[in-house]
Amino acid sequence: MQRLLFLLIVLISSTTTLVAQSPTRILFLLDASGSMNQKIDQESRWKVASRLLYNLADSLEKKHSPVQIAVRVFGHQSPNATHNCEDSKLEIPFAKSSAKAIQHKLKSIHPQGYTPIAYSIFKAAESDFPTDKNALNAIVLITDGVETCGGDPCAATQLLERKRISLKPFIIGLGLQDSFIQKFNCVGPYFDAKTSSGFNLILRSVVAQIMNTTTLQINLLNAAGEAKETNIELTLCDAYSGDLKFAFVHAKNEFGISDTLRVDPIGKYTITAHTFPPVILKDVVLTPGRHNVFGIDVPQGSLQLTITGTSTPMAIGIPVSCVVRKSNQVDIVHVQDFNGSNKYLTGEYDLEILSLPEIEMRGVLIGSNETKNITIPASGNLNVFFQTTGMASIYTTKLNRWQKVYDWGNVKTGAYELNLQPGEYDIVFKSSTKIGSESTYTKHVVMESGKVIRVKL
Amino acid sequence: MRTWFISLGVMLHLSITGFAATPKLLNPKQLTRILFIVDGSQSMMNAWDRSSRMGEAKRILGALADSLAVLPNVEMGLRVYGHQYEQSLNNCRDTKLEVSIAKKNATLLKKKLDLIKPKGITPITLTLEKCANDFPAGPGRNVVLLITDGVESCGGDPCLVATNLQQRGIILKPFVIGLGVVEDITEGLDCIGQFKNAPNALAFEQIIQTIIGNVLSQTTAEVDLLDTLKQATETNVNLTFYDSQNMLLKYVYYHQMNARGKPDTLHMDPLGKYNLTVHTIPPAELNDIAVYPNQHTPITLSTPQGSLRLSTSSKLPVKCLIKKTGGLNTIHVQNFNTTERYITGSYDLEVLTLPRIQFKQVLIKQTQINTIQIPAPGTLNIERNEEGYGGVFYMKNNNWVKLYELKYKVFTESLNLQPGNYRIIYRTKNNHKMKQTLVKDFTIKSNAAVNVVL
Repeated sequence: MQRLLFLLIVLISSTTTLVAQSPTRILFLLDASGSMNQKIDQESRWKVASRLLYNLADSLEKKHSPVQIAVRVFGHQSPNATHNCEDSKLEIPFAKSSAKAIQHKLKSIHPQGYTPIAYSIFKAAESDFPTDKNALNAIVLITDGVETCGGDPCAATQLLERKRISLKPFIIGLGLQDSFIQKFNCVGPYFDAKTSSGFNLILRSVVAQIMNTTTLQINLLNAAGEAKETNIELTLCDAYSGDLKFAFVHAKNEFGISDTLRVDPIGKYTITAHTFPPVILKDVVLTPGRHNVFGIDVPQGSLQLTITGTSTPMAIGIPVSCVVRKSNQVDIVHVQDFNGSNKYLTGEYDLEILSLPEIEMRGVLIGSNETKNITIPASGNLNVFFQTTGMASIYTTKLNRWQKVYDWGNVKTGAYELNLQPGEYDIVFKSSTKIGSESTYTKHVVMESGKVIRVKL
Repeated sequence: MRTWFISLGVMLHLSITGFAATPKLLNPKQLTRILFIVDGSQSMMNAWDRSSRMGEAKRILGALADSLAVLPNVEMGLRVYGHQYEQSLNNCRDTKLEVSIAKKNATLLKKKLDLIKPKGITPITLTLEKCANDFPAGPGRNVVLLITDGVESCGGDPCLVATNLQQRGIILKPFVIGLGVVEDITEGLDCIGQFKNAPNALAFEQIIQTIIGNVLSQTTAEVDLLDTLKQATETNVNLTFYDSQNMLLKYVYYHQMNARGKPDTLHMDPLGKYNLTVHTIPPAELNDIAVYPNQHTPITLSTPQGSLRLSTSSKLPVKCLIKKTGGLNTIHVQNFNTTERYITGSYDLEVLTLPRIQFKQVLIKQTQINTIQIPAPGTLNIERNEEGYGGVFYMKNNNWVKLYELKYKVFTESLNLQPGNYRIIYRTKNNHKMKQTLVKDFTIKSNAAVNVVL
């Protein structure tokens, strides 16, 4: 800090992006393949779907709901015999939608063709939604059959998720066989409508679900599985792009319940609780219009690092670091300085204390809500005065063999200082004024905590 | 220095009368203590050559004592067994230090030798056990020379005792001379130490001369530290030699090149074997190195080295953990703005800056200097006026990683951070809603300070 620093004051802006739930857009993918002419309750499937969609649009309009509707129809432009797999068209875009326009448009359509579901989802993802990052986009697929064009609706859905274009499509099936229903598992939640009144009910509830706010509650669990932990930083990132969507410090309300967040339910999240090491919840999918609760296990204990005894004046202010790793793992979890305390997830850790010599402690157990105390003695200060130039190094004995603690390399005439842990050492000095290896000189020194040892070589 | 061997070799061709010739000790400071253990059992009375086994032993040892007496750093002692009690008494405790190990005791030693009247049995094991206390404490090489015409007769295990004494560093490997021992029992003596059987007095004389010559000689070796081209060019590294029998430290030598540019000659005790550590990073080791009397031994290890220079324009101390690529353990911690030598190969570096910087598969090549440079850090000053929770984050591999946890009650904190983009996520203790979390982004540049007020 004594150095002259160019002082830079940075203007800082808050980047938290909480979701404003407006507007909501629902795109209906409406099946107009030949089979839609079949009847349910004396009326063709197509007519039932058209009528109920109109009713829905009408009632939303009358309630001045912020929900916008668009309709993409497939299988209506070319007859079955032409095998047209690109028969899909956005008939009513979001901007122009109105109940009347929907009623009018759908009346003019006659189901006749194929069922290119995947193609329609791709098309919808490509261009149907206005580019407005704040909007909640949803797709509702109304169909009486499965993909007939060899497309992969699952892949199409993944694209939606990856690009955060819309929620996973809701599927309303009209008289689908059970074996077909399974094919929609990967696409999104499936609802089966067997009667026209049933269809109406499902349609209304799907829309209600889309319109309801989606909330998220993250419970931070202690070792007993209780939601008692808090004050940990949480980040919610897009599972595909890694983009940070939300960043919070976990909090609890006055009743001790984890705070609830309103969140964008579209896409997949990676939720990280930033403990040491972090706990990561991958591929988190939220149910739209619901209260979503996730528990993250973050049982923690503390590691208290303390230097005991009095340090020499030379050692004060020089921090001793401790490298903390999970036992038998290469990756560093954290580097913690003496003296101080830091929280870690419970478990076994290997400590590498970067004193001279290094101190290794393996399998240090940090228990839940416990403080593990690790103490090392204060170093002593070795002051070596070399009377000639030469080469010098210092050793400690481990398992009967000398281990190099520090290498001065080539030394000049003068004093050299080293902070060393208490213990016995051997200094080796080869003066450059003497010839031959056999002029190597060794000096045994005993270091004590907080003491200065002076050696002339 | 090497010419010395030739002269020593000549000098060691001593005749009995020529024992007076003085082998020149190369390391005059090194004290050698020789304990003669002589068999006084009844069978030593058996006729052998011109007189009896005991007669020949007295004559030859007596002459040897005279010649050793004049050497400045040799001390002698005499222990005898089986000479106090008749064989029929079967006394297994019949062993006695007749002459304590000391200087200038040749006359006493000869007198005591003369008085021995062999009569008893052969308690070798107890004798070896007792001899542990015969040697005075203090630095020196303790040599046991056992002269016997029979094997243990008291049921002990002399080999176990001998090994134990060596492992405890009390004695060097004993020398055992058999006087006309019959072939089928030599096994019981062979394991005690270096065993030679003398079929006659002349052979005995030659054997004992050779042994004493070897004991009092030093031999030479050189340590050839090879580079990648198998040339002995590596030097300026410390060497530690250990007795491989008991791992006691024997020699510490800084490896040097002599004036001819060859590895320096090192004088070594030919008795025993050595383990060697070359204190490179990581260290190189070679075990059970045998050196032989009157023979120059090249000891060869491959220690090709190159240098790693860690460089930054900042004066702040920064440490770097060094691992072998794929290895689990830190082999060295190097400070920034230093250069150190490593055995050639691939290393993984982790610099303990904030955030840590990893360099994988850093190659150290023969004689070359690999320079790793990191930018100087900038400073982050954080100020706040109430308690709160949060930390400093940065983006790593598309993930936000917590770098530093803000201290709950410390309102002014300062960190040295590497240049880059960071984010603080923070909530004061009195804000109980998660959406009251404050997120602040900032950029750190080298040698510049950023002040953040929370």
